Amino acid sequence: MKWIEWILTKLVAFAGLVGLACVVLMMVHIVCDVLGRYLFNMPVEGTITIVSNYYMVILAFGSLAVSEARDANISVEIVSDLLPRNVQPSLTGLASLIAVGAFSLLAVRGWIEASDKFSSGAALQQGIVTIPIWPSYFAVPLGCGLMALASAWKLVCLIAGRPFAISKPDPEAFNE
Amino acid sequence: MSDVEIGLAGLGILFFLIALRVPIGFALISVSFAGLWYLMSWRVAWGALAVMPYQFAANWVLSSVPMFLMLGFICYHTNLTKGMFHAAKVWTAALPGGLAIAAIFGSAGFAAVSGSSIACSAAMGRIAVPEMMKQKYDAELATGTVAVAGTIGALIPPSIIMILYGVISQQPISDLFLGGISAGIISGIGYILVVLIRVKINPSLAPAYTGGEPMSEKLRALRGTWPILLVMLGIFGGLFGGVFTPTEAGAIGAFLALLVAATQRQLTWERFRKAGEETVTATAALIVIAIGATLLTRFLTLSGAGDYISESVLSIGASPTMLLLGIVLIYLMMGMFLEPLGAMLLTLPIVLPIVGDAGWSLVWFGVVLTKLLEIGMITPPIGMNVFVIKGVVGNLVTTTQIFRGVFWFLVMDLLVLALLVVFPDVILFLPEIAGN
Repeated sequence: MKWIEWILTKLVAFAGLVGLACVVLMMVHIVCDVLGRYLFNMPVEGTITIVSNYYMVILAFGSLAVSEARDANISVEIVSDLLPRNVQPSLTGLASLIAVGAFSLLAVRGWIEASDKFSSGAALQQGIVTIPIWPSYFAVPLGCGLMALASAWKLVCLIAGRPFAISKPDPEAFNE
Repeated sequence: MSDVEIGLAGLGILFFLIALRVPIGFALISVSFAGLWYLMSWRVAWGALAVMPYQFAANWVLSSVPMFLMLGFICYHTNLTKGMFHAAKVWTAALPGGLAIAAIFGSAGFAAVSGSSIACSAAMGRIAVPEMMKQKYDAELATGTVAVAGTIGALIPPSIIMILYGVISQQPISDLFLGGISAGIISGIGYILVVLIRVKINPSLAPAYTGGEPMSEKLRALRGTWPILLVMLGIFGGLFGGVFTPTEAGAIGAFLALLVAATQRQLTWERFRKAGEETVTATAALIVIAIGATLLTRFLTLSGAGDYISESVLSIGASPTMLLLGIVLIYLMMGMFLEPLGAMLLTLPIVLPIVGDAGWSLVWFGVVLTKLLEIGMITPPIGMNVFVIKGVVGNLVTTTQIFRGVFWFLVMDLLVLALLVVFPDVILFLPEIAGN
């Protein structure tokens, strides 16, 4: 059991780093494009494609499990809080079960789609450059797969009665 | 079951799951997928999963969401707004309830670099509430003011709510931003009036300030506002000067804020990492709901349930006024219980066709909706801004006290809302000027 937790913690931490890198790269890339265009009339070719098809996609799907590990997914407690205490774990279980189902489907579907894009060598033309975008499709199955694993682990923890902890808690953080 | 019935049943199951604390995004994705499968075929549902999530995320306009979140988190963690509050404080000290008014000015200033009201409340709460408590301000007034003033954060651009609304309703973000300016400023003026009137009636709420700084001190305080003003100027100057687009403004703003924080010696690796990590989690949490909402739109359209709801609503509420009143009431009630962005993404697939069929301006509706959702941030039992302030003050003030402090501001909010609804031009005149 311990080693599963260890591996998941490492994977989630890695996904968090990748997400952070996407945010920083997105910022730098756009700033360079704007400055280049405004000051030297030399935009960075392909910025829109790279920002949308790489940074955004990797950030969105790669960070799913990070968000789940930090318990940042938005839910509504108002009705469930009225229910008796002893059904609360079942509600957590239901949410995790749905997550396992939904994100496993997304992962499998995403994998098939990514393989298709890989074999067709999907690319986008922006201005004078053609940018291959097939690699970014693999972020969907990888990110959703990790999310499904994290949710499955949450379910296992719930059944086994152990704490679900695959991310370092940050008491100062506040979430949207 | 007819197609429409399947659609309505899907909505019923969706709300049931959400009531059982299933995260909104997960419920949306699973119900829409199962609904499409049952309604059409496995192939249609399977096909929707292949294309829609990727296409939604790979969106250039949407990239401004993480960038504006990052901008707000950087300003929050590096205390860039401290000078703003100090300057406002020195200038408004002589007014009744001067510190509370300064907090409102501070929030309006922070709103111009922050896309969400929570960040705005948190930042001003950390700075202004302790100061007001020290000056023996009434606890309800002090905390209520900051909780409410934070809602300006989502009205004055940038605004995460408006960006997501714009992406889904396909309205230009810049028009929504321009419309939000007047709504935000009017809200701020309203809050200042509430403070002035309340303290005039009951001066014990806010002890009069006896210090009285000389002009030289006042001018010096103004100099302390340059970090945040520079960031604001960079964002708005470039945006409305045509140097960059609203989508690019977030990245430029975040970068400027980092530079300014560095020159202020406020930027540490730890703070940078925190701002970045919070951006990552908040973005993922939002996008998963938004992807679910696009799948739901597909399901509602194909089942015909969307049209059915829209037509039945339009046929009952014969007059547009009643219809609008109904929408406003529903959002006010929903705002009491739901997180605003979740509530918006969840309901847009149903509400947008109604608004479109009724022939209202979608830009105007976006700004009114933002105001409605922000009122939800301060109404009990679930008022996120109130909880944020509660987090700042700890055991000094109870949540109930803060909600009580919010009350008169809430009355003002309803008046402002009525103004925005009755006179749509209040919102639309800036976008129209820019359009011509």
